[in-house]
Amino acid sequence: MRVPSLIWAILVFVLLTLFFEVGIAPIAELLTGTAAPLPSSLARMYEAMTAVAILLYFSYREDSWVEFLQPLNDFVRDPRPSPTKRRLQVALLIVLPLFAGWVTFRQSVAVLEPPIDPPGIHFNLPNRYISVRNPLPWTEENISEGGALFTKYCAMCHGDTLDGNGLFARALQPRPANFRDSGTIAQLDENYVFWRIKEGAPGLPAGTIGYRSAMPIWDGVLTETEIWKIIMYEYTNAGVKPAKRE
Amino acid sequence: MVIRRLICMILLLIVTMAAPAQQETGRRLFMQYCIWCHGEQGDGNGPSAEGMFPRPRDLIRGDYLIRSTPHGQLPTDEDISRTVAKGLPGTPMPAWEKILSEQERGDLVTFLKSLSPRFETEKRESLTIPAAAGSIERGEEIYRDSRCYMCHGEAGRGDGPITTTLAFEWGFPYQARDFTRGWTFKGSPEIDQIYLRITGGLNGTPMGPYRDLLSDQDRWDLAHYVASLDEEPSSTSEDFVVLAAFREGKLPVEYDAPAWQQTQAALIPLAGQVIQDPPVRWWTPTTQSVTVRALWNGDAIGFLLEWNDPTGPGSEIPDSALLQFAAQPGGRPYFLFGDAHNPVKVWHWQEGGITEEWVANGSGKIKTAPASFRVTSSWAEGRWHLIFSSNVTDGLPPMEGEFVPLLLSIRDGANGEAGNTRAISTWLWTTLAPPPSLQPWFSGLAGALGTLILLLLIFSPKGKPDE
Ligand code: HEC
Ligand code: HEC
Ligand code: HEC
Repeated sequence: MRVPSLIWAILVFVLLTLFFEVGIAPIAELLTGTAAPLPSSLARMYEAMTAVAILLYFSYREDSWVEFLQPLNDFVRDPRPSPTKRRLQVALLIVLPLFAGWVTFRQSVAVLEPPIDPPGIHFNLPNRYISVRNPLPWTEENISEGGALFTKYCAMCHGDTLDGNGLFARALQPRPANFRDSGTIAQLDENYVFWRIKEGAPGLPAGTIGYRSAMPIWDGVLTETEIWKIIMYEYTNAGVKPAKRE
Repeated sequence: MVIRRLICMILLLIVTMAAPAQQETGRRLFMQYCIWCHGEQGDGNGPSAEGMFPRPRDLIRGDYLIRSTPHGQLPTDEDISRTVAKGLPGTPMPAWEKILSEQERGDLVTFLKSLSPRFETEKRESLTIPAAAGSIERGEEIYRDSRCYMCHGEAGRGDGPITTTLAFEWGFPYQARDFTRGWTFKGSPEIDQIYLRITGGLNGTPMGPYRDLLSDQDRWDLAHYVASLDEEPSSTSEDFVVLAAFREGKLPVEYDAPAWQQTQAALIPLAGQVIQDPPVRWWTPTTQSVTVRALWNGDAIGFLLEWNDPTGPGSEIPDSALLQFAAQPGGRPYFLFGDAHNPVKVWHWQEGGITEEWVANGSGKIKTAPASFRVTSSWAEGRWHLIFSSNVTDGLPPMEGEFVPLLLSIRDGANGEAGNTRAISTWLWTTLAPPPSLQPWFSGLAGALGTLILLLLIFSPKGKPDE
């Protein structure tokens, strides 16, 4: 018996869809070592393209199109349907409208999503800090004094282990910077870090999320020497180096 | 025979040589990571120890809280290694498992033991943990019979009648554990661990051992009961949204009314106000989180704030709470009392029924305005319950369909908190849930009918192909 082309089409579509949804990740893992699934929007697009391609393929010639639609025609427009077919037709008439109703219902229930904060960014260093340099040598003594100050003034937010998970961190939005992450001090020059510690969140441009953060102003509480010692401790204990000056 | 003895001797030699080497690596790690708090001698007098609560431990004395051994004994090596890995939650003692490997922690343990001569002479034996099932109901009875509530409170919130008079053997103030906040357990809120704490006590604290007072099964049931009281997850909702649910009719004024309890609660963690002085940056707030619920009925809106406070009302300095909103739509002001361009509106409640409303353009620029809200307050079994209510349109920025910035702040008078020494959140969001509407039902009906008509057309005999 010949398999109707409609069945072929459905088979091809299902297989390709499966491939887009779950097949990409293992292949990517095989080739590159990391399992990267297709982004869902891209997957949806490929699936739609597959469907269009299949329809185009079968509608290219009149006779193949008629043949393609044959099973559907047989089902929908049978002048003398068997009792089973009748029952199937009625079931379809009930199930499909219910399904469509449910989908439209879900779509028109409003979803409340709070505004999303963009990730924090690094800003241009204010001019007055550009020529600032660390006047202290990286001696063990300086670093250790920095450690004591850090634990006292910064650790409750940035964490004793410098991972941004201090006791207060879970209450703060945005979260305190994780100095072990490659995205914070490892990317920054010492004088940028100096500026951020001295002027805190209010030193950033108003309206940015950094400006709303809990990072305190330390000018007036810590001396410049103390700030430099803390900076040397941060770099040393996080195991990263200041970014090179351009 | 000779060979075996030789092997033994070689092994012994390796062990005796390895131990000092381990101890040396341990010392180096201790100097790098631990001396800031525990001090170079390990006596708990590190440079940042001052003002820390609880104080870093004097590791020379050998008093350890987290042990699998009976009361008065030293901890096992595994116990110490576990504590170094997991830290002591709710205290400044950090978890080191992401920083130090198991090997390094082992070296640190060898070093820590060398600090106290007691480890050389005293025996340490692990307690066994029962394998039988435990009963929460029986545990509850034993909790009452053994008078745990004297310190831990009727509802387990650490508000027992003698809790405020407790002092640490080492001279620090101490409070019985609040069982409803599992994440603050120093030895983790797992049943096994709770069992070990009840059995062996916490050396040097008012929490004594119950090994000789209660049977193994009693303590096991008790551990199940204590674990069942934990109601505060360690992680909180990441988006920090307080959603006001819609409810027809008057807003309930009793905090335990079903309408409040059925409303989804947001658990909001708080931090110390360490950003601004004067008077001081506040590193040691007592309030670590607030539960918030909100309801509105079309006209009025209510916020129910609840937080654990073992000391309750009646201290010399009154307890107080603040709700702060962005005063204008759009944008979020600086979170501490706003800024020059973005004012905030503050609802201030103080124990004794005092309410005040402020409009602020920064910490120094606070003006009093007529109060547009009411507060009903009560304190029971170690917990404050406050309902702030107001007209939705009266003085608040438009909230319908909008997310409005909201901030919470609590002052615990018994902890000396007043003015800017307080516990705060950062900006959260609050908004009104839309009142129930028939519109989605209509859309759904339209979708279903449309599809039905389409199908009927397809099935209709007229469309039959002519044969
Ligand atoms: C109240 C909590 C808090 C305290 C205390 C605190 N910080 Fe921060 N800090 C933050 C937060 C939140 C951020 C992230 C937002 C931002 O960049 O302002 C941050 C950011 C930073 C940054 C910027 C990192 C980057 O990638 O831009 C540096 C540097 C920094 N903190 C250093 C310190 C030092 C040094 C101290 C102690 C003297 C300290 N902080 C104390 C909360 C805190
Ligand atoms: C930020 C300060 C701080 C740092 C850094 C710190 N600790 Fe602690 N540690 C504490 C405090 C505070 C306590 C006491 C907590 C209490 O009594 O509840 C403590 C207690 C301890 C205890 C006692 C545990 C028990 O069962 O009672 C040990 C062991 C310990 N620390 C080891 C270490 C080691 C090892 C390091 C370094 C890897 C370290 N600590 C780093 C603050 C710190
Ligand atoms: C005399 C007062 C007092 C009594 C009575 C008392 N406790 Fe405690 N309990 C405390 C204190 C104080 C602490 C906290 C010690 C600390 O933080 O180091 C504590 C801590 C605990 C912890 C430790 C949790 C952790 O890992 O942090 C458990 C479990 C506990 N108690 C259970 C009980 C049970 C069960 C009873 C009754 C059989 C009881 N306690 C009776 C004062 C008491």
